[in-house]
Amino acid sequence: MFKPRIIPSLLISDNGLVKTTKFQDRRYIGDPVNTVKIFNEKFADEIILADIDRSIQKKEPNFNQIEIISEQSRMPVCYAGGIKNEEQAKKIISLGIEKIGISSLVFENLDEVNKISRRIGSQSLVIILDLKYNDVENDYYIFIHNGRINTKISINMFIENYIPKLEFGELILNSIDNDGEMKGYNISLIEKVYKNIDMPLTILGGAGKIENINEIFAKYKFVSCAAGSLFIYKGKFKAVLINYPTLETKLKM
Amino acid sequence: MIGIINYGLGNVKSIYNLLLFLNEKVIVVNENEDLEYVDKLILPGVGSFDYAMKKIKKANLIDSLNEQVLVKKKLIMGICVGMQIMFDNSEEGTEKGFGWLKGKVIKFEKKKDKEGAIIPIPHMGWNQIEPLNSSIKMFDNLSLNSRFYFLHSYYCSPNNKEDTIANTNYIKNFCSVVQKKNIIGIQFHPEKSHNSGLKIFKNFCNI
Repeated sequence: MFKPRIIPSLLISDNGLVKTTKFQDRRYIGDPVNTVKIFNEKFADEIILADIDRSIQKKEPNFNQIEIISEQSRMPVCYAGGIKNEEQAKKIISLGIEKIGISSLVFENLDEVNKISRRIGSQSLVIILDLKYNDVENDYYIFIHNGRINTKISINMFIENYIPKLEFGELILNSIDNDGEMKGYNISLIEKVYKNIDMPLTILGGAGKIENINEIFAKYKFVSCAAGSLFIYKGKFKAVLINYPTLETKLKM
Repeated sequence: MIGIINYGLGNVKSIYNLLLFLNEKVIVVNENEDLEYVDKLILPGVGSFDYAMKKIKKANLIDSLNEQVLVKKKLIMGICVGMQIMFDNSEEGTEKGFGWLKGKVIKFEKKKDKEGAIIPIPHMGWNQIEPLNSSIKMFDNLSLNSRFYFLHSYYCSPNNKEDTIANTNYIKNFCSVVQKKNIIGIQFHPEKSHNSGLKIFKNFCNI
């Protein structure tokens, strides 16, 4: 039987692993390659790897690091961070990465995004949206460059005006408000989207316990769950301890 | 010796590492001459049907692979798009495939499940396979609930139904593993399917 995925989301900055809260307060976690090896041993469904400073610093993806991680990973990897053109995307796929995550490029150069999609196959193109709630408008707005720039495009506008023009394989909704809070996923965000798209949807931001994932799986049959803090921290003092549900736990979910 | 065909697409490195882990002799096939040294082949693939075929043409591999597979009858395993290009053609594009297996590659149809939820396309994530016969070597030592990683919007539809050796259910029952004598195709990614995938490689090496 098909089951939605449970996906550790790893943030990279200056080649090291970090974790944020509400996209701020970066904390150093450790070495990305070692962490990927640990997730191999825990049979993780997939991992998301986001090199979060690349676009802001106008730097190319770190192909060497991506290659090392790809070689080590026995699970599928989605890489995001600094991909601005077809050549870079193609190169990353040729290193054995299954999926390319795009965020700011969607709002900078839509044509290039579709070029990437045609080149690598739309199933391998993932759109990642960082969203912040606006209580005046009671709506979610898309931010780019680590939450620093408001595109002023709401999630509804995105569904109406962007999705029909894009060929892609997965949408990841990342809640800036819930990031690192470990108080549960942003369900109202899922509500706004899941009936309006026909490709896989993944929610990210806010998971603090396995029950948060169970809640999503019970409500939405095809929504996958990604999480950072949940799989990185243990206990109320947030000690760094890489963890992931066992196969037995997963079967019961 | 196993040769992994490197035409610029697919998880060559991860497959290479897995085979080394299994203590197999393995080389990466970069040009036609390398093919002479190998007795088994792996044809990986990520991306689109047309792009894969164009890359193979560009690498000048069409005639030599036809010879390896059809004349010398070396065992070959195609993975994902590597499986799809073993067929005649695909709805994804206009290029011709190798045609070693008769049939075509078809796009999943949009459908809702019993509860009215849209079943997303692509088929992305972990799913099971249902072997059609218990004596198939490729599935030795696999437990019933083994899960594999899938990532595709198109599936293979063999003309000869007996070529299908396992089905998977997503939107419909589709052919997820195919075998016709020395030609094997696998829709999922065994190189990204943890221990279940490792068993698939082990079985391939033991044939």
